[in-house]
Amino acid sequence: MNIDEVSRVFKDLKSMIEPEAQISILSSNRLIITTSTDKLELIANLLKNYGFDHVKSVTAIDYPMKNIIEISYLISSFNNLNLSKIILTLKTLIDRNKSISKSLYKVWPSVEFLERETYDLMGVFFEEHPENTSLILPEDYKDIRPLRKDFKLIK
Amino acid sequence: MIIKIINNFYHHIRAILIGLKYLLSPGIRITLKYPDELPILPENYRGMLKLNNELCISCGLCSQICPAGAINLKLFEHEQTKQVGRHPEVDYKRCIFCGFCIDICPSKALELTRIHDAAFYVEDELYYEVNRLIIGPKIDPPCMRSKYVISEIDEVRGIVYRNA
Amino acid sequence: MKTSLSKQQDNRKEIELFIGPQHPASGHMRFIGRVDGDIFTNFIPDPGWVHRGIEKIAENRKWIQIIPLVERAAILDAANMNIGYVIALEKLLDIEPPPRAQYLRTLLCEINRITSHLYGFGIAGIMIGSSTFYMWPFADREPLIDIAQLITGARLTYSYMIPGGVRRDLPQGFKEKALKALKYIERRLNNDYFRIFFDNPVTKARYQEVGVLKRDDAIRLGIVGPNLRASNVKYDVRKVEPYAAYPELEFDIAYEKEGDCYARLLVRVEEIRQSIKIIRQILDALPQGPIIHKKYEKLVSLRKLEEYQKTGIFGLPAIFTVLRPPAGEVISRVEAARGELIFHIISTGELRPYRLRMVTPSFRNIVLFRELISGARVMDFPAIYGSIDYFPPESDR
Repeated sequence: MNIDEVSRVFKDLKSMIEPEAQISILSSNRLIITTSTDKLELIANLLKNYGFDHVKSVTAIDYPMKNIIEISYLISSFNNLNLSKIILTLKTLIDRNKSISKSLYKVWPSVEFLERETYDLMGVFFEEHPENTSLILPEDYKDIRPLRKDFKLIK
Repeated sequence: MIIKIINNFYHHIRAILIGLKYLLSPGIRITLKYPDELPILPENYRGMLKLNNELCISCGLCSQICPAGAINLKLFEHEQTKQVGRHPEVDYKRCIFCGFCIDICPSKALELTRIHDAAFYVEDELYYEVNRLIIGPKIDPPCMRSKYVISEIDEVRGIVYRNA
Repeated sequence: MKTSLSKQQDNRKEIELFIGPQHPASGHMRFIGRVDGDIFTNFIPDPGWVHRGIEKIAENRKWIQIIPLVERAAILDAANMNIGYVIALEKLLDIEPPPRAQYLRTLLCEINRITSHLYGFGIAGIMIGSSTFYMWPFADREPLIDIAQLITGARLTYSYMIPGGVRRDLPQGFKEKALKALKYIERRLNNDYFRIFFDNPVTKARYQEVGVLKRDDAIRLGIVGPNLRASNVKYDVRKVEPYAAYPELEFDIAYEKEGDCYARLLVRVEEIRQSIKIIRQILDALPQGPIIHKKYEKLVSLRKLEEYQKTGIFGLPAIFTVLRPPAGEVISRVEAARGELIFHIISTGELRPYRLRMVTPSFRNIVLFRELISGARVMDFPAIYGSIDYFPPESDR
């Protein structure tokens, strides 16, 4: 994909989502949109209408020093082969102590197991997710969620 | 309908015939008759380690890169030469045979052997101290009639095993 | 859901059917189904029985030590797991391997793709009761594993790709051996496999029009790999975002229109053919030159350099033990045998990654169990499972 097309998509998205969210370029073919949790679903719907039809990954990153958890949805397209060359990261920051976010299941059903895994291993509760139950860990797991930074592996 | 039945019958027969062919004349035998046959592995096979303590410069890179934490360093004095150094010891309970230690060793003190049969009678034998690592792994043939074979890739039979 | 399912005892007409977790098919995995007569009314996959916490372990490993770690996700698809991570690491380090290394990487990836698909065929075969077709593909992996062993020195866990290139050059006489193995596998695939399995009316009766995944559903659920392409979506990372030597090689995307179990198998057959085509091209057009980036070639000791020039085995430079990629975020994607593999890595410039996210194709395909098997007959379950080519260790990570 040439630079022109990425910049065209970039301009389109910029005019579409601002001022609710900010868009930036990570590298060629990789764009980042940052937004707040309450605007997340709105932006997601806009992106879906633009042609991004599935989610590749839900990455939660724990920052205990800043007391936040960063959730990134990696979004791309199967239908539109131009858009499928881009991986768009939809980022939102949530409070680490509460760790509640909004599920995007209604927008993209493909997030289902990815969000469930994130809930399981990082302890981020996704509101309106059909099944916020354990996927990998035991059902009665009560300890610190393993992917949090304060969970230490025994050396 | 009738065409479908004939077609199905034809493909059933074909499937049975090809099965019969390999049943009656099994040209392909991929498996090795271990322990009667022992393979001679290719030259650069990543097997167990051997240490040349005279070349070892005690840099410890092998233990630093080991992804499984299988290599510890130990102060060692050679019985004859009285050479002293911090030499590696290998724990084969942890070793994953990635070969990073051999590749990173700057003085080529660690070398590959083609032996991979890390099976022992006692658990402690899996830990190779420096003096055992210098001798290197030795495996007795598992039975009296064991013979060594070389595997060769064949166009028709997949793999054939030739006596070495 | 797992617990709530066993508590719901009000509807006495249905019974619960537990499948697993002791290795029901391709790995440790549990399924909880509700059966009404012969029909699954609800079917829930329950993964996590072989979870090893690769993402967490990776936060405690040096960058170079993660190479063997990520391979353990799918041991029979090690090279593709490996290249995904190495590409991400190279993006952070901002280095590009030389062309010969790119070709060698592609070569190993394609060999691995064939062996992985053959493994999938074997599992699919035994699941619908064809024990002949269990033995044949498993045995026929062996010539290909043998040639992979010639390149890397290991049968399955290659750890072959390192940042900046590959660890070893091809040994003497490799091309002849590889061509022989390819000829063998091609003959077996096109003649014997079709006769005994793919054209067999029993197979067709079990697979055709079973577990149909429509194109829109496949896209909606975010399915990847051959399962996606069997539903008429022409999405292949090797074409969409070419990596390694794929931009210079000629191959087609294998796809089918039906979206049923049989189509999923045929896509894999076609992919093996394309892989054979790719390997032949690589063997013919392998460029000469170094196998490692210049920057690292200078850093190894003189003795190792001599060995590299003589035997083609490159020693790792000592800097790899203290590799510190600059801070940043990187996303890589590659086409592993079962589909798209994503690595999302956050580096803070430390000895270890801050966060490594690995999304494997099997994990993204797991939803298919619920979507395809709910509503299907009980004996369609093995057929559908076999056709999805699901691999629990890869899914659980």
